[in-house]
Amino acid sequence: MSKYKNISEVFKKWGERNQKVPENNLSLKNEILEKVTFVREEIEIKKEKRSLPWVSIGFASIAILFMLGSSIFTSESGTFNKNNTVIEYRTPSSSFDLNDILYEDKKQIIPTWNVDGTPINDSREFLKTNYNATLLTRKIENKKTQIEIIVRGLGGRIDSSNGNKKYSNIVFAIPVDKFEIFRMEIKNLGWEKLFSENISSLNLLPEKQSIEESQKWVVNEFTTLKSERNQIVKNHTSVISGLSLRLRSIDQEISILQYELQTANADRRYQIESRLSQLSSEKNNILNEQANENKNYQIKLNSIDIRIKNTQNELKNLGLKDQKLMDNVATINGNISLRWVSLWEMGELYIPGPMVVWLLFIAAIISYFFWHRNSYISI
Amino acid sequence: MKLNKDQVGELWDEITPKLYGYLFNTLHDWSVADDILQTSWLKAIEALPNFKERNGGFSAWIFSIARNEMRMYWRKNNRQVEFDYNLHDISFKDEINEEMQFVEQLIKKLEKEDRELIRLRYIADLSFKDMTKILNINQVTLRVKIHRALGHARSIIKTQMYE
Repeated sequence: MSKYKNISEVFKKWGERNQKVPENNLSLKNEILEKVTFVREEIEIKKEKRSLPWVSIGFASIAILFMLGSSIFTSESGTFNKNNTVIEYRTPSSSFDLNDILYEDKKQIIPTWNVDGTPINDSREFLKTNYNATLLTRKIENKKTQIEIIVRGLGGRIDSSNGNKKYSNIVFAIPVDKFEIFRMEIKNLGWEKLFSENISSLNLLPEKQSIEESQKWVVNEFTTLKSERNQIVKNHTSVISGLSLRLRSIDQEISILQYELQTANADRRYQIESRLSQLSSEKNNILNEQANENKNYQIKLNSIDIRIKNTQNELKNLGLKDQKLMDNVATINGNISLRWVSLWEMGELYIPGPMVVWLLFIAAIISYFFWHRNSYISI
Repeated sequence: MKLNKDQVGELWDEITPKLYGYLFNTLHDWSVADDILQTSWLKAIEALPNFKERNGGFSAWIFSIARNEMRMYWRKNNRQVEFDYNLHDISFKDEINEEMQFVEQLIKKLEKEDRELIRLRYIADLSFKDMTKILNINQVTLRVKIHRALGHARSIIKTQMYE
């Protein structure tokens, strides 16, 4: 019974032994083959009718037309920028236009400073950097949260954050010394082809120079005003002391004359009284002059004090402005847009040329194989 | 294989022993098997322009025609003849050895569906792909069914050994 252990082998042997040809095999075969001659012509006619793989040719032609069309009509606008990093350095000039600094659809304004051409002997750089990035993703919410964590983690702040399931926008600011780390972190968020960034830097040197020039001018002004004030005080003191001296002299003469008046004769008395009257009038004049001098002095002093105070305020403001500029330079303002991407778009990004062309070529190849396969008959 | 007279001849030589063996083993009648073989080939050749390979190979196609012819025959005669060596196979009887007899008895004891699967697989020597086209079932189901049929055959052998 061991020979029945492998039942498949037994059936195989049995099957082979059952394979027989009929006794009249040859005559049957010839009869069938005679029929073939007739039928074969029909088949050949059918085959002739579809002698060319028209479907494949059609697909291939459409693909070529698409390819030519897309190479002629493709424009950069409206497509995702594949140059994923753009760095721009700008130096403002006298012809600096506000429209120049409106970047694409971001409407972001970089401060302008209208000065005449900046001389080359000053090579200092005060770069104000703006960062714009676009990330295509299929998980908007997830990426948005990750970006916010990165910004806050690097000591930055989120200025605005909005969006929906298809689009999101995050406006933020981060310290300049963390910028490179930030860029690396953001780049690691998605595939390279799905990421595009635009970094624009503007040298704020003209603004800085203007502030410095203003500061120099204000300091000079301040020094001038101070010396002016001192001169006014000095002049006033001199005038007042001169007048006081004259007054004292008049007073002394009056005292002497009044003492002499007690013992003087009529003629001398007349002379003394006349002189006293003259001295009194002179004294009054000096007193008036002194009062006028004090009044004028006070006016001048007040005026110059106000000017000095204004200059001090201006100096303080310029200091604040300078600090603000330095803080501005030390801050990177940025904007990241997240946009949902479909699988088709992803395909478009990764496959060279329009994807529809590739699909049409594949369709052409498949249809050709079908056509080719149908031309054969196997057992 | 492109179709021409010589190649149809090759097809005949390749397929006919299997088809005829299958027909005879199913019908148990030489003359009926001859008729159905001839009819099947004629129909196959006539309908060859309409043959589409996606429905299986040529073998699957001609076996399908033959099975259809057998069904028509049974419908007309209203019965399936049981195999009887004495009545049906006088010429064949001389060649029967012990093993063949044993397997025939075994086949006879199997269910009708199992019998058909064993015939198509071992006499017709059809591939699983062609069998799925003929029986209109998927390949997994077919493999399971064949496995079960072989299992039934094994259990019958075991029963016979104990008896």
